[in-house]
Amino acid sequence: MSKFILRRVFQSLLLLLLISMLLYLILNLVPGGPFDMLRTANPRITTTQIDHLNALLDLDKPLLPGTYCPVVAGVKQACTIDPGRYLRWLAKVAQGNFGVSWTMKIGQNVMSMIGGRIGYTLLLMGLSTFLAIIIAVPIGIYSAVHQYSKTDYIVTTIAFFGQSMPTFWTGLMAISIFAVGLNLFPTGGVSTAGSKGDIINAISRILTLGKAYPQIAGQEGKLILDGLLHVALPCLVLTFFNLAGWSRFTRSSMLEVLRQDYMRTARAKGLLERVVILKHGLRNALIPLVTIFALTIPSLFGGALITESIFSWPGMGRMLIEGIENVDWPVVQGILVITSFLVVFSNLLADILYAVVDPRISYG
Amino acid sequence: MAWRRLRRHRLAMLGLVVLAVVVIASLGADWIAPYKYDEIDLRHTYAPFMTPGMPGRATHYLGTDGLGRDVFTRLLYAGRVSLGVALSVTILVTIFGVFIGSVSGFFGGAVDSVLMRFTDVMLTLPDLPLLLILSASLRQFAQLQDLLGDLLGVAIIVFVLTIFGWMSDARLVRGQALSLRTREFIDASRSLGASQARIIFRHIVPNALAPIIVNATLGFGGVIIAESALSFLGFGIMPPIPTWGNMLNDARSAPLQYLFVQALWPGFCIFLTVLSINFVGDGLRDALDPRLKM
Repeated sequence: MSKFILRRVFQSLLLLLLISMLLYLILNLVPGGPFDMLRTANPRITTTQIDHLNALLDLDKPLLPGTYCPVVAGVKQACTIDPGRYLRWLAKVAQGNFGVSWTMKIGQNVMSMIGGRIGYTLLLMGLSTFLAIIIAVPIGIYSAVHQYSKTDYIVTTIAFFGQSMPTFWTGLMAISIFAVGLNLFPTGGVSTAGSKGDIINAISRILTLGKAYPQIAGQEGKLILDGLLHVALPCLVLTFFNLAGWSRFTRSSMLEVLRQDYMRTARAKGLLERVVILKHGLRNALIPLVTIFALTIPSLFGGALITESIFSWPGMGRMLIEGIENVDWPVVQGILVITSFLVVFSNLLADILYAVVDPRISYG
Repeated sequence: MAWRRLRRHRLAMLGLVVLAVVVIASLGADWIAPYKYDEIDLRHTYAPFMTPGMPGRATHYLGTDGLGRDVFTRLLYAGRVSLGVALSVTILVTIFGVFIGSVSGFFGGAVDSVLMRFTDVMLTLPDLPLLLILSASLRQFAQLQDLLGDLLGVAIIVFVLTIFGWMSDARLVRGQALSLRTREFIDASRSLGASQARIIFRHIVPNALAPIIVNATLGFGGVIIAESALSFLGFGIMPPIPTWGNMLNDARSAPLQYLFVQALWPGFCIFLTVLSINFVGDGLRDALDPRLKM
């Protein structure tokens, strides 16, 4: 087992290295740089000035190890061997430093920008994943136990509907019905305009025992309520979308278990049907769900690009889109590398968890 | 045999009928549509449904958008673009995936390891962000703009969706090829002197056709959603060419009281098409391979 884990860890590291290289190369080979907008905004800016700015960001250096011949004020300087931008960047990333933002918040550290957004994404994604699982697992089990019943048909058909409705449509519909038509929820954002903070500030104030954000002292409860009101609609949209997948997974996993011999044995022992289903069936049906849950970890941190941008939710997904729109490659690289790391890590975790929760599986 | 089983699948047949209507309506857009897709009527903006048009012109059955363009007309033309993109991507993805998968599974060994590790890397790469980045940046190549003109947006989206779409086909076909290559009829044709290419394309691929068709059908719906998502975010096919996705994007900038009507129809078209194709795919899976029935 430990040999298997060691080999998988090594493979994962290799995979990550390859992915980081591909991501870096793709972003740096596509046309367009951080100063394109500067050039359109100010036609009097000269190419020499742009070159100077590019040199400040090391953008004149080669991408991969090679020779570097700097040009200072139009004069060619002596060439040197340069490790290249990719290796420099990789060395920094290994120390947890993703560089500074180019265009969105010029000069600000990417890690601290991510730190400012991650809470919002965790709140939204955590809440919607939790709700989806809590609702979908019982539905899936009921549907499997009563296979081919009316309820089963309704559940599977609704799951089909859910998977065919893109979040960008359900999102707009939710806004137009619940926020505009019925006026129950705000159309977007994270707090009411004019408030001194938001739900994340309030939660961090409570978690730090009243040390952080002194300006919102005494308003924590109000801010949390306000935040829950704001998170309701995006959360509803994501929950509905995830519900479809989770109920299908649960149903097919449970159906698989119901066919097994040990279920018949349990019934033959004279156990109550409820005990057979819940104790012998459910516990085995949950095994594949554990690994599927591990595979949703990246989205908990990476956020939902589309839903976050529809609801102006200041999470990671929306920051990624803003980064792409503003050619802010350090921010984009930071988010993509972190999400890829989580994808690789959770794949590894899923493999290991599978062996841990299911004693029938052994990786020799 | 398979057709008879598919006929019995009621939802699949319903899906097939709806899909046929959508395809015929969008192919016949030139004849059915009462307006041109970019025809502007600034006196009737955000008109509700069944608004009479200008004197002598057709009724705006589903109303108009913010520039007074007829929504019904635009939905038809948008369907043509969305279905066309999805069909091209599905065909390209299937060809590419089948090729990689069959070569990988048939030859095995080092070829298999290299191709499958490559597939793993492609599967791990975050696809939606990279689709956004690639489609935003490929647009800036001047040579491509001269070469393709108005079709550039469509070509880029087909290209990027193909790059990130072939992996599931490759894995599927590889699995099939791995089990097929040890079968006796493969040995038989090899001993008769068939070349490796002939064995792959005449024996392996046709025998793996059933799951390939099911996968392509279910993938088709995914491509429609992906294309709409890109166009919705403003990174896909640009106005004035309508797609269901960029019509939804237009709806976002409508005054809030019109949002419901503006977003309803394009989204409903996406939903209806994807739902139908998923039903057909589900029916095909049951019909072509009863063992897979869940």
